[in-house]
Amino acid sequence: MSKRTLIGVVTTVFVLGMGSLAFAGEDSAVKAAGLWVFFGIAISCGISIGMAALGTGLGMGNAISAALQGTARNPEASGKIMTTMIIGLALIESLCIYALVICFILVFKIPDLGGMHELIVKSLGG
Amino acid sequence: MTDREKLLRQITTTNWIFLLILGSLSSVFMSATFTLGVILGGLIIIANFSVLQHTIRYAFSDQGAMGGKKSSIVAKYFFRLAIMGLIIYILITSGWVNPIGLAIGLSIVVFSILNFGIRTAWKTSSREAI
Repeated sequence: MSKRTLIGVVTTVFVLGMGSLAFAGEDSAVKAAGLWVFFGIAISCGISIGMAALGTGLGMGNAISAALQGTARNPEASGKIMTTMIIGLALIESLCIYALVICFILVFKIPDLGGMHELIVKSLGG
Repeated sequence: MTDREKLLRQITTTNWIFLLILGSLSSVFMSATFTLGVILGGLIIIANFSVLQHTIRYAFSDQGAMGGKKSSIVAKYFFRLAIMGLIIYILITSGWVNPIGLAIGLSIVVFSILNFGIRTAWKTSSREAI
């Protein structure tokens, strides 16, 4: 484990620990659990949009590279190649847009904190 | 008009037809926020497709990347993505639109490209059968 990763992990644990301590009241366990849920959503969204962007970048890079090679070998077919490439790029890009929409939904719509609070209270037997 | 221009025009027309069909269907069967999501998502993705098309055509033209204007092309590309992300963010966080409706609206270009692909495959296979 590199030094930067270690510092990142320690900082995360520290911040979460401080959050749990800050909520040390009568329902501290509930709030800490809520914090963990929100933390999980945020981390998963970050990772998922990163992976979507990686896949989209690779796909677009391959498509453009192949199109350029085709155009260089046969310049007369550049029009047809470009049209097909535009359609392919639109398809590839839509995947990343879906990932973005899903991340926005997860971060801004799913964590209904009031509802989550009640749910956690119930699950803890409160 | 060349074949490739016809193809792109056909896809653009199909986009508008799909938007009309999905918008009217959702206005009849779904809520107002869902309909607004479908319509706004469709408009966003159609505009995005149009700008993408123009950017790529310009990039591969003599005035574009070959003419030494690479940075402006890259800037336009990222500006388009940033604007679209911002609009989607505002629409979802404000609660004006239903996110599922928005996702369906954003799929309109994919639907029309798939429709075009299926029709082309169907034509090719029927021609081969004859």
